[in-house]
Amino acid sequence: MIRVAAVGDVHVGTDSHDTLRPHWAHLDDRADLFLLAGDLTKRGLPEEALVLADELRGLRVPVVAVLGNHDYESDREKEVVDILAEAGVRVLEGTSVVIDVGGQTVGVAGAKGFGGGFPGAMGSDFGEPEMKAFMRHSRTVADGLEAALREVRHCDTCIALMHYSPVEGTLRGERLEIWPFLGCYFLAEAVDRAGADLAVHGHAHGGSEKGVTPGGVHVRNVAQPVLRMAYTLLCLGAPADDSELGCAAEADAVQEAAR
Amino acid sequence: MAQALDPQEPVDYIVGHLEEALACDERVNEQGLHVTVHGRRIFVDGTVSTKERHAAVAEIVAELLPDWSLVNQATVADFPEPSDMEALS
Repeated sequence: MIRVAAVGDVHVGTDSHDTLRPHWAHLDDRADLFLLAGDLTKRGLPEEALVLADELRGLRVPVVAVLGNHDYESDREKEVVDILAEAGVRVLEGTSVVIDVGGQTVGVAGAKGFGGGFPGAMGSDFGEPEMKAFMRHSRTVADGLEAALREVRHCDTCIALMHYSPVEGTLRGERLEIWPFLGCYFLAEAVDRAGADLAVHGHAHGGSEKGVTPGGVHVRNVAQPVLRMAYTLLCLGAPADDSELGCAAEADAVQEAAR
Repeated sequence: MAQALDPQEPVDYIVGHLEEALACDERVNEQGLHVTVHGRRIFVDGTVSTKERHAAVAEIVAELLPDWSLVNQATVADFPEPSDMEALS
């Protein structure tokens, strides 16, 4: 089985020194993989990425991330990615990574995603150039996610990582009027077409934690204000005959470590 | 320093300008803060990542509406490690 830790929207700034690190102290013992679901920084500045890199320093667990909208604010996202890559973080955008966890392969495909909305309440690739650009960006990043997922479908476990939401279910709690700015069904369609065991996103601070794609893939909104925890822990891929038992034992170990 | 708002504007516009300022001002940059106005009292709810940004909410509101009072109900993110694990099947 694979133990996945995940959180999004940590919004690290130059005022964030030592705010995350104390709460990530037990990650190496609790998780096989640590996912960061975008909005890693407050304004997308290199100096903020350096603070995040320092918060992550010393962790042995593989860290995989996507950027979020905050990380693009200063038009310096390439520098942010380079700094995080230097710190060992795999930052994905229409790309994938395969991680070996005790002989099992875990494929993670990632993309930022974008808004656009959901059937019945969404934008269209029609009209003014600004509207077309909005929807075309959403389509482009979803296509990138689908292509990246297909690269890792051979893996024992397959995870889609994004910042924007692929489904409406994890937006419940947010005002209905802003859902088209929080996600787009193109992302869910990409996940369902390519196939995955889990889709993880952030961005919807006022949303809900749990959802599912129309094709039946688990979706988890790991935005930190939703979790109200330093990260969430998910257990994937336990053998069918003892999955409950296996994960229950892991959960007991987690509780023991927390004490 | 943020430019002061016209306090005679309709409340809906004041709420909009305040939420926009809290999202775009580099001292806070938080899109998830929710503003409501009751009389000349401004209530701010949501989560900010640091105590510095929590304090900056008050600075910005004071610059925009210096004679109004703020009830800063925003939470500073200081969340514990999880105590359980969810099994997905």
